[in-house]
Amino acid sequence: MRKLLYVLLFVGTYVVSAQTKTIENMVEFKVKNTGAFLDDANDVDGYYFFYEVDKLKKGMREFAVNILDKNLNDVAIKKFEASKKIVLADNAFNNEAIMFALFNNKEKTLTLKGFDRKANPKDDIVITLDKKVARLFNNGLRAGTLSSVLHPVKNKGFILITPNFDGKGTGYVLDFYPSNENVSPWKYEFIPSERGFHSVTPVALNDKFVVLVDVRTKGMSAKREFTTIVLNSQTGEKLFEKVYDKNDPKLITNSFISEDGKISVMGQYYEPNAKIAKAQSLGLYTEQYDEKGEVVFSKRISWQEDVSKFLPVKKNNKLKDIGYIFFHDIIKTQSGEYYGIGEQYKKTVSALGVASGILAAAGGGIQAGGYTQLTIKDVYIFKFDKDFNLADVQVFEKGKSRIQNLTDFGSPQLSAYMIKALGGFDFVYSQRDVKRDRFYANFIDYERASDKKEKKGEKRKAGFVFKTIIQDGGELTVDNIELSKESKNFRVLPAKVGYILLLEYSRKKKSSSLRLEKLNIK
Amino acid sequence: MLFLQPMKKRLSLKIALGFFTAFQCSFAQVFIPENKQQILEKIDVNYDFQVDLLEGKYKSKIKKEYKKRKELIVEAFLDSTFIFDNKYSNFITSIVGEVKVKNPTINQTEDLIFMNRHLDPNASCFGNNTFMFNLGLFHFLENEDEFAFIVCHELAHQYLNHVNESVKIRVEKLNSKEYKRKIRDARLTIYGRNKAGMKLLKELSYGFLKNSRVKEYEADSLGLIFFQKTKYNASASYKALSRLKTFDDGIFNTNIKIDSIFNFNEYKFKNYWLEEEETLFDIEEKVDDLKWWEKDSIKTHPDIENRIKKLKSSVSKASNNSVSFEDLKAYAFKDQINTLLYFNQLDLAFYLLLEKIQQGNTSDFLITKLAQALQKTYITKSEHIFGERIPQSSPFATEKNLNALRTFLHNLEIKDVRKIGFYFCQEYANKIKSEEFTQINQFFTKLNQ
Repeated sequence: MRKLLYVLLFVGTYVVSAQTKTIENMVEFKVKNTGAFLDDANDVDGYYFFYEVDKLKKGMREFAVNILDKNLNDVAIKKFEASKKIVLADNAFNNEAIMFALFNNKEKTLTLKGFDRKANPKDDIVITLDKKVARLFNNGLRAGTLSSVLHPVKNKGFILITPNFDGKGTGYVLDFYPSNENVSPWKYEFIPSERGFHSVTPVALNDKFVVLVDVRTKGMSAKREFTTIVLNSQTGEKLFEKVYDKNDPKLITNSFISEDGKISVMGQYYEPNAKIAKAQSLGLYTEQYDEKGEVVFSKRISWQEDVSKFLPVKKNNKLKDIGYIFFHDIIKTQSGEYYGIGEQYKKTVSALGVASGILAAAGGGIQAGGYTQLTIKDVYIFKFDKDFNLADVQVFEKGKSRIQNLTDFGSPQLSAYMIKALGGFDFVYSQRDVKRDRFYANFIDYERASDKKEKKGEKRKAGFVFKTIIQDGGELTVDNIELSKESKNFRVLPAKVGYILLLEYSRKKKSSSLRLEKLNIK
Repeated sequence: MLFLQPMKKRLSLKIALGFFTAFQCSFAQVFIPENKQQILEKIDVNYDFQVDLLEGKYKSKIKKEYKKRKELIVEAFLDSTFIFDNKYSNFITSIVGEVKVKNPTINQTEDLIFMNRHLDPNASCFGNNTFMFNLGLFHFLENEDEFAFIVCHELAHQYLNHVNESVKIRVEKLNSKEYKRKIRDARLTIYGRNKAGMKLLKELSYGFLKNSRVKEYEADSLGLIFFQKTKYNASASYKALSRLKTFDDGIFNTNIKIDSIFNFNEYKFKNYWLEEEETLFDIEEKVDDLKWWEKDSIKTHPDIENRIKKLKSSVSKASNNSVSFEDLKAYAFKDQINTLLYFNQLDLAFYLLLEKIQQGNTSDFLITKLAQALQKTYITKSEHIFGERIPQSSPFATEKNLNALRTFLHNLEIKDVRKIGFYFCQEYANKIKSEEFTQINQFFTKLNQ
């Protein structure tokens, strides 16, 4: 639909479009990475294709990044030369600049390559990595398990998180790189004095605070120790920390910074000395701190006293006929309400596991996997009022998913954590639409043919469905998108808020195409 | 066809516009006619005829190119790209008849002419006595004379054998010793091989396209000679091009006031429906470091301005006035709307309908079709195929008005479409009693219960 198409093709003669295949086949660009620029609300700001353009002398390559906006418009192609050894480790966009983190295992460096709002390149920042850190990066990138290292701070800069091996355990370093001249760089270093592995995730960021959740694990232990650390985002100075140790174990899932400068954390609480990854929680909780770390509000919602008003809770905090609920996210709306997004799960015996166990035994072998499985079913949305009182629980039906447990030992909670780490739950991601005060909780569901509504002239066919639960104006509605139809298959990728990016594969034409589709609020 | 019956005998002239017999009402467009097989056979005959004329060193290679061309036409035909209607066939047949009668030197063999359903003002000569004219020409041209010049221009391409010549030149060039050596050298390049390949591709393409621009001037000149011998007004030649020149600044030039058309007492217009999104970069046009292609060098046609100048200086005769074109233009407009709705090109349908409605025209047709466009928006959104049909808005869009309309359509939630559709139908429920409108009204009423 471009203008050129209309005017220049006017009274055109037919032109054979193909040049020789020989030349076309000779020109080949290798796509090395593709991905999306995501903000802290999981909103997509754009996409990129990172590819190798040409081979140059002395082990160098010409690379290019093709950047698309959130509507898939091709907006920029930026080229640069670099060593053939570089691997794209992470990317971020902070509303002022785009930043790519390029890892070179041979030289043990991480190069931050940025582009400003005019698409002009910024000066490269080259960071030399410690041998152990480089190994961790390399292993993580090879296995695809490297977590996000580059975090955008809107209109300020980027925080780079790297591990630190200087102490007894594994700590971390946060380096802040400004994206404009009005902000200064800073560094925050954590060197543990005890053994254990500390991983850190920024859960809330603004121009005043950086809220970090530090999780300490030790070997194979199911023990998890959570700490909330609040830094001054202008200087990197630690303002306070809250340690949820064995006397008060807590699992932190979310954090918010309110307009009045208060910091809220949310999650689940446990009995003293409980091992978080193993035990059933006592309930959900929230705490609010002022900038000195003083608790200004605290509230607990227990399974026994509060949830039992909505769902049948047994003495051991297990839900009758339901099992357990795994909370993936807790979302605070602009109007001040909270929503906990959970999925029902149970530990059950696996018919497949038992059968393969018998076969393995008959053959004189030992079965590698477990005899048990995690059965995942409906979505549970817990709604809380402004004071974190449980106001409602809504259940959304979903087909059963069965995931074989890696081990039969341990509690259902431990299995759930393992399955969560492997991406085995049906929950995909959630998105917040801050402007319209909505949220979208996305799941992959499997619908049986018998569960489907009959449509005229269409056969009911079992298949995967992308299920979105949308909160709009306090109401929850569902939108379903079938992921396999006739001769087409679909994959859902993240998109700008309120949309999904559909990768459509036509089995008939053997071709793929991408398009954005809006999620429907009915 | 009737118009040409007597001449057919005398000049052996047959124009195939699908050989379609029954007149089609505007709600039942025909994309694949009953005589489908006959048309496919005709495409084959044209191909065989061209192949039989081939001789020389690269005969088989040129044959391959002709085959690709044939397949392209067949694919377009089977893909419902063409629309079959006697109103258009009679119109074009009469023009071609007039041109050929007055220019007996033009090859009088059988032509195959298709009417393409697309909105852009485009026409093509495929080089094998096959032509294509877009429905959009009726929207942009003012009279039959202007249309006739376009026909003459395409017939000139055929007369000068431009397309087949281009194929021949291309095949010869690509198979010459010099180019084979260049390809081999580029292939053997170790460092910067892709750049070398692209350089070669660029060199070839620029050369071919330059040649194509020269051929356009030739077709203008010869087309004018044909045209001046006809009953049509010679000045229509440069007027047709001048009209297209104005489209250089955009085709969709009317600012559609969506906020007043879709503002109802019961459901007020929401300003955020027109809100554009933040972009990654603050730039006016795409930034491309690689810049493989330069805009001006990949033009297939020369600047219209120069073509107008040349034509103006060559026109020697001011002649007859044009015949009535208005009826066909109005008919083609309805066809365009129905086609756009049929293929769910809703953004274009909305634009054309709203443009007329904004001018104060609230005919039953326009209102019914706008209601249908709203209904189709609702259905495609609910089936999650709206994004497949309607392009997303772009920060670099030159068609700002169309871009704003797309932003609006994408920003609408399905619940908004449900309400807008309902209140829009309610506004006209007492005025329009047609079955089509009543059904759409019922559709939205049911949704809002």
